[in-house]
Amino acid sequence: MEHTQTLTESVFIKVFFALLALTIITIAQPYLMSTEVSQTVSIQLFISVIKTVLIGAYYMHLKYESPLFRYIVLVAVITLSIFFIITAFDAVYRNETYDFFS
Amino acid sequence: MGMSLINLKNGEISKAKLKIYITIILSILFLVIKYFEWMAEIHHGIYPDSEILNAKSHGEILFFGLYFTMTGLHGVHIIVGIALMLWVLFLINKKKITSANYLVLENVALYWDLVHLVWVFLFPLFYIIGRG
Repeated sequence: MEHTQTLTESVFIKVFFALLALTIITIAQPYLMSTEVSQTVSIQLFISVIKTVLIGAYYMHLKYESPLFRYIVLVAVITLSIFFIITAFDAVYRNETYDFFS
Repeated sequence: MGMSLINLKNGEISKAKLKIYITIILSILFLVIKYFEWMAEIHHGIYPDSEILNAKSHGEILFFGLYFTMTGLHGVHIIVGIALMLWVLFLINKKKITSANYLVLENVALYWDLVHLVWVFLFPLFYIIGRG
């Protein structure tokens, strides 16, 4: 498996500090901005997604995999996201009564 | 774990083992912190189906239910991870994992990254959003 040969210890350490910086932003964000809960959720999840991409690309060496393999992972992530989004809609609109037919 | 894999591939066996030991120590530290956190909540009378918790609003019951289930499940994954890492150390000592045959270490490292990934989402959702 040649793909991980390009991954070096210095890259690992750089990614680690990037993740650490993002974690500090995660903790500091609610104190810096006084936003609505929904906005905080969006910002926090956005940071989490960036961290996920970093971990996936470097620590799980997806960046060095073949395009086919990366597409397979992408399709799996999209499929999972569809279910998450459907569930999120249910959670958000659960208490509101919408009669679609009237 | 990933750095340990790089060390192992370069033939630096003792460095690779050291990094696995560091990972095990850090994950035990995490579990100890979570133990104290859970104990603090149980001392306050907050645990699944406790009288104090059941008297709270539905949202709070739901939050603590999810909190205990998901941090607990995460803890189980970490314990499994520690067991896997000990197994990897055993295999390295037995010369079953070498710089040419590292598949087990690679897969355990991937598992560990996935456990880490879960915490990336759990941490903001359970600990940070409430401060907003």
